[in-house]
Amino acid sequence: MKKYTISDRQGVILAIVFWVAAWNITAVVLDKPLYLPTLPATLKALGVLMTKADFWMSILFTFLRVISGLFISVVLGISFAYAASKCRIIFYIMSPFVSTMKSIPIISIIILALLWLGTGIVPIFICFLLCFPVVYTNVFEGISNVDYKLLEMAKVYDITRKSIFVDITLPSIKPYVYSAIMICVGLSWKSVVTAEVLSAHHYSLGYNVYKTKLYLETSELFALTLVVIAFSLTIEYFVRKGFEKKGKR
Amino acid sequence: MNIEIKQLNKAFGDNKVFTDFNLVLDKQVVAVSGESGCGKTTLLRMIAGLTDYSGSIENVPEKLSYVFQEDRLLPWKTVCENLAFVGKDIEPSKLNELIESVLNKLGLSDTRDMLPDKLSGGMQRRVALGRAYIYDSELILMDEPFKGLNPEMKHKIADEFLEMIRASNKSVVIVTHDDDIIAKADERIQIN
Repeated sequence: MKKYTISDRQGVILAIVFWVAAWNITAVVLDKPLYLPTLPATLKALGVLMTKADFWMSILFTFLRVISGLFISVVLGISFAYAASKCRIIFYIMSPFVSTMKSIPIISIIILALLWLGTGIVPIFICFLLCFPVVYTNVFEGISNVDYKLLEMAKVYDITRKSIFVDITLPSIKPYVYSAIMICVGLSWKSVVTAEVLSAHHYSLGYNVYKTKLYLETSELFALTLVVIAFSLTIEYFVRKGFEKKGKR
Repeated sequence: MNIEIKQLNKAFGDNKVFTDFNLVLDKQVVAVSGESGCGKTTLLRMIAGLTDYSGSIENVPEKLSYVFQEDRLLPWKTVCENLAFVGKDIEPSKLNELIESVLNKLGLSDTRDMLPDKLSGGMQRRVALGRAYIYDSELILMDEPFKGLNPEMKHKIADEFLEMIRASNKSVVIVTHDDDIIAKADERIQIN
């Protein structure tokens, strides 16, 4: 009997086709565009949005907020994880903060942040609060798992601290940083857009989402959601390619 | 080499490994053997300053190399980069010459740009030996350095490596169970 195998790429395409078809068939059968618009209706709404300058400005500003929040989270997450791995006091000080951030309801922080900060900064701040613990925890675990046998070897050969960090610690934690960033890419888009909905900053995808609620524009909501997913997957793709390139010898 | 070990005591919990142990290591190539668990590796680690002890170990050179039981190569660095990793104090042109000569002598010339996981166990072992040699040290501590090599390769590599040692100002202490390697040493010490 002949066996059929599919490549990863074929598998991904198959999965996308399956779910899009499932969505469209359900929408057609349900026939209630207010609850679930069809794929053509969503694409049409997307086409209309793409003719508006505000839409592109909103994408640009939301994108900048996501990148800023992600960048700050990664830089500070790695720095604090490294500091905590070297200094027990920092580890103890960071622990309650990180644990609290992991479990606190996002809506509580957004409301507080709206009181404390300007509406443009709130999404970046929320993104940081959600992504920082992920980066910190992953990188701290990575540093804790650096092979002590390599560190012992480095000690015998009198390798400098800088070289130990660059040649042993950084390559050892690379998979952990990669994993943290991949998790945070999706998380950052979700958190930024959610915070934008509540902070209602004019140039933001979140504000556009908020308007769809006011005017019951469900197809536009779906179109905006597709945009967020597309951007999130694009960033994930570039992060993956970047790490693959760095990992190649 | 003239390492003097005096009144050395070491215990792991209730297990006393060394009690008032005395030893002088003063030949260029010394082989240390003994039954499993008698403390051979611990002795090397104490000489290297990796394990604490009571008593004294004198005249240990400030710089020493260590060939561990495992190769402990950096998996993300090529053979050349692994060798260069311990030679940062050496002038680049001299280091390159030294690396070339070590690669040739240890039969690793074709592997210079390969990562350790692409090498056989025997090749990885040779890279670890090369690294120990390249480091600018007077003393090389070796823990079962030729383990895992087939008999022919073992003799070839051991002879070439010891020839390199004897042509230099370096000394080695080899911990091993292998009678063939013990026979190649200038001094044989049995620990009970």
